[in-house]
Parts: sequence; C-alpha cells; structure tokens
Amino acid sequence: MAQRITIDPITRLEGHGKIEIFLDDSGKVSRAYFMVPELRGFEQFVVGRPAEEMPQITSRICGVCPTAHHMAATKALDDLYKVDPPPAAKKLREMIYSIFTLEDHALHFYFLGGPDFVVGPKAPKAERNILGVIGKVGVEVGKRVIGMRKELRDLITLLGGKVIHPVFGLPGGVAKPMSPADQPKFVEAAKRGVEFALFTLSVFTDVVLKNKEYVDAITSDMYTHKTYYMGLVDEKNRVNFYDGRVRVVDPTGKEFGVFTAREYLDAIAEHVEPWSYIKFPYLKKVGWKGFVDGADSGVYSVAPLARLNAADGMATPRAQEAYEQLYATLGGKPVHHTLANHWARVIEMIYAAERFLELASDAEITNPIVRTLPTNIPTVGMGVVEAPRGTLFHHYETDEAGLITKANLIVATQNNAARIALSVDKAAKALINSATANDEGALNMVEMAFRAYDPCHGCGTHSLPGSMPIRIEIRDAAGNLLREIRR
Amino acid sequence: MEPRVNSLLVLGLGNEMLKDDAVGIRVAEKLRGSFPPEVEVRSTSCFGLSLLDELIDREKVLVIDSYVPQEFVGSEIQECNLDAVGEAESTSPHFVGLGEVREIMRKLGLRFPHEVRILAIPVSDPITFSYEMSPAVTALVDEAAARARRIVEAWAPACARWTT
Repeated sequence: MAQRITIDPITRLEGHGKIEIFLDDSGKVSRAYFMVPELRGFEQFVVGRPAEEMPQITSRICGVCPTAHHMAATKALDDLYKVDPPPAAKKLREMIYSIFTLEDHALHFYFLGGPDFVVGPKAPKAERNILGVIGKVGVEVGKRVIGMRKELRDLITLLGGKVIHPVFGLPGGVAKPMSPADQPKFVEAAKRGVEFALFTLSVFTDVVLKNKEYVDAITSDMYTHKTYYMGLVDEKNRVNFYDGRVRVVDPTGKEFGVFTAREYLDAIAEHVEPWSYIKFPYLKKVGWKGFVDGADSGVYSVAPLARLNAADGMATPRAQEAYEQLYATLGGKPVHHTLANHWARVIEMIYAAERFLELASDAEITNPIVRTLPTNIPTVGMGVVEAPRGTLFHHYETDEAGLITKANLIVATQNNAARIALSVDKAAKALINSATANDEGALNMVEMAFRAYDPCHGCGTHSLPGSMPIRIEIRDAAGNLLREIRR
Repeated sequence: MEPRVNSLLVLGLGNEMLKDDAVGIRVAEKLRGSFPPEVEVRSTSCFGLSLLDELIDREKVLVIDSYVPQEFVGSEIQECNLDAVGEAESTSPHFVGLGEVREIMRKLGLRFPHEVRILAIPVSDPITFSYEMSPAVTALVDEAAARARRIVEAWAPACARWTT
C-alpha cells in the first residue's frame, strides 16, 4: 500500500529548492513534489519603510535578475503616486530593460539550456554543465557571450550607476537622462546585440533543431502540459517586456482574459498545500482543480513560451520571423512543450535586441526631461513587468506619508509553481522507478523538466559553497529515504 | 591585458537584507580605508557569473563570505583556498560559484587570480529578511576583519604600515 507522507511545512528548506519523489509498493513513482522556498518574512520586513526605497530593496531579493524587481517596483511607485513619467523616461526604462533581458536570456541559453541540449541530457555529469557548453560551442563563442554580456552591463552602469542594484527608476521617471554624446554607444551596441541574437538562433538551429533526439525530447509527451498561458502584451497584442496589459489565453490559444496590474487580484488567487512554503497561484475564474492541466484547471504558465503563446506576434521584424518559424515547426499555436521555452527564449533575445536598437536610435530618448515629480498623496500602487522568467507583480499600500503598510509580490517562479510541480511529477513518473533511482541520466531528465523554467530561488544566499541549492530525495512506499542528491 | 593597478582585491560577499548573510559586507566595510591603493576593498550582492567581473585581471583576491555549519555554536571562522570549495558542477547561472567562475575563465583564456583565499564566517540565519545580523555573528566581525588584515599583509607587506 502506498503511503501518504506529509512534509512538515515548518521544516527549514535553508534557501534550497527540493524535489521529493515517492515510490509506491511496486517501485513506481506515486508522486513527485517540487518545493520552492518563499521570500520568508519579506512583507513584514518592508512594513514601515518608505515606498521610494522599494526599487532598491526589492532589487536585492535576487542577485541574478535584480533589474526586473527594480523595474516592477518603479512602476508600482508610478501607480502609487499617480504620476505619469515623460516619454523620454519611459523609453529609457524600456531600453534598459531590453538590455537586461537580452543579457539575461543569453546567459541562460548558453549556460543553462546548453547543458541539456548543446551537451546532451545523457552526457556524463562532469560535462553536463556550463563548462561542457563552452567545450561544445567553442572558446570563441564562449568569449563572445562573456564579451557581449560585459558590454551590455557596462551600458546599464552608464545610466544606472551600477548594474546589479541600479539607481535608476524613480516614481515619475528615471534618475539620469541619456546624453546625445552617449547615444551612439548604445546604438552601436544594439546593432551588435541584434547580430549576436541572430547568431544565437543559428546555434540553436544547428545544435538543437537539426538533432532529431533533441527535437523528439522537446515534443515528447513527458514534457508537455496543456495549460493556460500568461504574458504582457502591447496594444496590438504583441509581446512586451516592460508595459501593457496582462493577457491570458486558454489551452487552445483563445483569449481568456486581459487585465491590468491593478486588476491582478481579481484574476489570480493562491492555493496552499501543506507540503510547501510556497502558495500556488491559479486563475480565479477557472478555479483550483488540483495539479492537473487542461481547460478546466486554473493552472497557468508564464515565461518565454507562455509569452509567445499569449501574444499574437512580436513587435520587431526578425523576431516575428523567428516566432512564425517556431509555430510552423511545432504544429501551430499554442505550443505546450515545456522544453520549447529554450527556443522561445532565443526568439525573445532577438526581440530584446531589436527593441533596444529601436529605442536607442529614437531621437526623443536624449530629451533631458526625464521626470515628472509626484504631487499626489500615495495610497495603493501596483506594477507589472515581464521578468526573464515570467510575469512579475509588485503591490504596495502605504500611509499618507508614503510608508509601506502592506506589500505583496508574486514573482515569476511563483506564477509557474503549479506548472513546475506538474512538470516534475510527470517527468518523474515517466523516468524514475526503483531500478532507475540511481540513474544519473534519468534524474537529469527530471531536472530538465524544471530547469526549462529556470526557477529563481529569490532568497538564495551567498553562503558557501555557492553550488546550486537543490536537493532531490527519493523515498520508498514506507517513506524511507532511498537516495538523496544535492545539486 | 595588463593587470589592474589595484591588483589585490578584498571582496565581501553577501546580502544586507538577509540577516547574517550581510556579514561579508560588514567585514568589508570595516576594512575600507585600511589599505594602500593597490588593495581594493569592495563588497557585492551579486553572485553567479557576475563574480567574473570582480575577479578578472586581479593578482590575488580575498573573498569574505558566510557559511552555514551543521551546528553554529562552537563553529569558527575558517580560511581556505578556492580548491577546498569543491568542483564546478552548477547547471544554473543562478548558482554559479567561485569554482565555476574559475573554470569558465580558464577555459576562455581569461586571466584568473593567482591566488583566491576565502575567509568564511559561520552564520546561523542567512535567509530571514532583516537588516540586523544575529548578535553572535555581529560579534565575529572584528575577528574576521583582523584575520583579513593579516592575510593581506602577508600578500603585500607594505600594507602593514597602513592598517589600523
């Protein structure tokens, strides 16, 4: 008889993510759980602090994608103070954000997606890492990635003071205009960015799409879920990372709903499970039906593939070409194959670079008027952006002096939490049993199921040794630990 | 590329918002102004590949960071070289550590420091949101700063004239 084991939710995860796999009496997987640590105590931590500090405070939640939080917080402050930034400020914000997304996506593709596709999911463990990618694509490509990354980060520093915790976004605008003398630097870098993004697509095409084993993995049922999809779109329903409305499509691709940042609480509710710190957002109007997919389940997905599914196209030409090719290859919209996130990510690199070029070349972007001073009494503010890993909501409430009385964040990984749980469970059931519990290749393929989402453990710390804090536990029907792996 | 003028780096790692995770930054703050110009003291909340930007073209680097021991009580400040931290195996840009950065830089032919020394301070809570460290960890800051000075003085004896 299979045993149900309840994991004490008080158990410290120590900043780690955890996958727990339970086998039944016959040695097959009865259930697999993926647990993401929450931002414990954050809401209490910020109570009493000036709301204007939030772009600085929240950018410290994550050491890898701080710009996403910085931008979501900045937009929440615009809403809090009911202030509309001048056009140059909006363009600067979106340009910086495009630069950040380009850099982040490039990093992910070459150093995260790479181990699964460029090197191969069943390659020896010693090669299945970022070093293996450099070994496969070549040192020159590796240097190009590092060089491009440095150039982009230097540009963010030029406008934001520093790249990791930029002093950039302010309620009603930005801290510093772009000088006409600096504009050519941005334009030239953007052109190189477009070339680099297109080159990345060629790498993906050559290494992944021309490899039948990889394409079979992408389209396999093991990595497929038919859920709803969510992403930010502009007025023409095209992907936009910085602004717009949040659009949701159903598993057939039909528009299910559209809402603004202010309306997120009407659209999304959170489900609680006793075995996890994290709550699982779901679509309110559909309801929580468990960890299942399909049109009757409120589970939805965010991140690159979801954004492309939720939109009607891309706003720049080369990205649009690549978007059309993806859907033509994978059988039309929407695509439900989780591993296609890697492909969608490359397409978004192209869009980010092209959008960067458009904005950098815009004559208005060097206008010195970059701030509208807030004059209204603050009350409630909500902001939304597309972080590289998906839709990110920031919600603040303050007193009249602008001190935080309440804060709520729904980060991208939370939005994906239910779908990630589905992915891990499905992959584990397909690949793991008592015979394969020690099979490194099988375990890696389970990890691929969640790595495609690049879950961001926002409360990850610097404490040594700095390796990926994921723990995988495989238990038998009596709950005895058969194997523990720390990644 | 020529080595930097400030070729020695003292780098405090941590997150000031995550209670004891701030300790690396606090120790670096204590050391600021202690050394001549060839020794740069910095702190950062970044991790992953961003560490590469800090390390490139340095001769020697002292990293000051926290570690979570099995039992905090009785644990001591540890010193080690980078080799003791472990092999590179991360598959996520989120969790690239010093070991991975070293291997990436070597593979790409980038100049990695001749020596990376790590000063690891035991902590009990690096994940709760708070600007205040635990009292027991706060009490370790002075000792950690003193040990950091001794390491830097051994690298550059001229520094001994400057330390306070």
